[in-house]
Amino acid sequence: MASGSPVSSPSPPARRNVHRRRPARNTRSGYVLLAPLIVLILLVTIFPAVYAYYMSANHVLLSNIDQRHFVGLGNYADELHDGRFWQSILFSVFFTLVATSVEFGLGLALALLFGVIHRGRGLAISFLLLPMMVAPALFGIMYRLLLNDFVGILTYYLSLIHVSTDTLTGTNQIVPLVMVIDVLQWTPFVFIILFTALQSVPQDILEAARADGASAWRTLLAIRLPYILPALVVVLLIRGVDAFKSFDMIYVLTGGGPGTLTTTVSIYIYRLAFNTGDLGHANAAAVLLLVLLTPLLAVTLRYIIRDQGKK
Amino acid sequence: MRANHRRHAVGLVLAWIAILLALIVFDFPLVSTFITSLKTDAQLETTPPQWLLTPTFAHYHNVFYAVGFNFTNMLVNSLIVATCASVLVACVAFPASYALVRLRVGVRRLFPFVVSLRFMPPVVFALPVYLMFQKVGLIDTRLALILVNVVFNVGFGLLFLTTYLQDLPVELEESAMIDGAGTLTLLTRIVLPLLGPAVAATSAIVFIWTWNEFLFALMLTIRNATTVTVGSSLFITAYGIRWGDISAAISVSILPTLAFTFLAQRWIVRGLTAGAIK
Repeated sequence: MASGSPVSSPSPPARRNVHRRRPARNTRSGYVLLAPLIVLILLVTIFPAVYAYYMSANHVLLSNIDQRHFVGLGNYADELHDGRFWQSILFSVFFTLVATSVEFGLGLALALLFGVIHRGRGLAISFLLLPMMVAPALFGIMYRLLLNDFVGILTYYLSLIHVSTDTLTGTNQIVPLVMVIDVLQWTPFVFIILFTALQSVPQDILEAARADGASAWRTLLAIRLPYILPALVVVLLIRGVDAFKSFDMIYVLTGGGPGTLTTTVSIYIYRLAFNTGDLGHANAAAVLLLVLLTPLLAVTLRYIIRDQGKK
Repeated sequence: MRANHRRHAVGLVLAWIAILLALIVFDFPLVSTFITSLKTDAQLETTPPQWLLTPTFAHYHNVFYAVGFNFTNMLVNSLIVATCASVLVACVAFPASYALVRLRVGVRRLFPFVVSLRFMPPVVFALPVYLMFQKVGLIDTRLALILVNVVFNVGFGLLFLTTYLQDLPVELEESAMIDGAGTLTLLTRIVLPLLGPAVAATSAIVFIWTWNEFLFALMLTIRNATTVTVGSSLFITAYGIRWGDISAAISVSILPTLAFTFLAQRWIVRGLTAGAIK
């Protein structure tokens, strides 16, 4: 990719004006250029966020928004003591850990595999990227169709090896099933990032290693993987955060059920707000989720914008 | 030497076998959905499933002309919302990224905050945004969806464009400035042409993500502004199990994003890896 990868030498022109003080005129036109962004952010995030804090301190129902009374931190206390809230957090964590690790392993394997071929690679990559271009909600529906009892194509092929889709969609297998579907959709994302990173490893280093008689395995462990370490970390963080906030695919596939078995924290909050209609508690849970996520978000941001941050 | 060559050839064949297997597994749902959409209702239930058949477009006809299911309107909604959002993200993120990189304004706080929006769970903002839009009468309008999608994608736009802008040499801009060019001239005449491909890539990716967005489109629309992604997902509950129709609806809904993948693969890959690899 573009220069400035932490290991390769940074491009000099980009770094030159690092600590140069800018005249006030520039600051002014800077704010003019940022104005549309700032207005948009104020309107659609800051203002609603303040409103959310306000709602979270009230008892308020979706059915009658104008009727509310102040309960202070009561909603927060309720949520913190609510087993269903913690259960959804735990499920999200579990889902994230399993799905992300599998996607990471498979994605890395595919990235290495695609490094072997040359002709026809572009087309093969396009085909591999297709699942992640499909809306997750529609991807979920596709699997609902494939696993349908009557017309499901997978249902038929699985029955050939004596696997019944009833057990797959039953309570015992539903959690692994949603994980597998997530893996089938997002492994391509891990793949493309790691593949691109692996391609950026300078050829001369690899040739020098080969000339010294290093095996392919040793080159991988001692040179290629350490070289792409930043990309490995970033892809884990991005996938982790994205898996943690999963909503679409699971929502259309199971609705969070059976029971609350596949209720991610996003589904929990959504249902609390729009099915139960309890906006006070839903907002409190949303704020709590944000607080819980802050450390992870901070780490992710540090890694992703580390170059810009240094300046 | 010859043995080496042979080993290389064998490795290549094995790699291709593994890759083709992976492509079959990963693209299986897409291919099978498309084929299902071309089957007659009778063919849907035959076992073993038929893969080669004379296609029927009856399901596509059903989808577009089903009573009470305004698919054409949903397509138009998706098209307008995704196009507007992608253009607006470019319009907002381009000048902003110039201010961030060249003028060093807003780097410390604004930039990380906006980028972090891409990573926050949308559901956190969903409720207050819903209530706010309800107050101002924006529920079930395309404008509401456009606004939300711009805000959640602008961080990605910034991340991508700043990465590219940093690598552009400043000399050109400096000499233009010496010649007396104002900021606006500088941006439109000098920087935009150089950054053009990156701006286009940003728009392409934002288009795909907006097209695919589900949570806000589900929550903020009722009938008039429903997008195809939500419409096709809800087709099941609304119309019972008509799998041929559902498959046709899904096939139409995913076509634009898949087409993008093939047409602009190189740029989409660059966009996706922005932030991860610099």
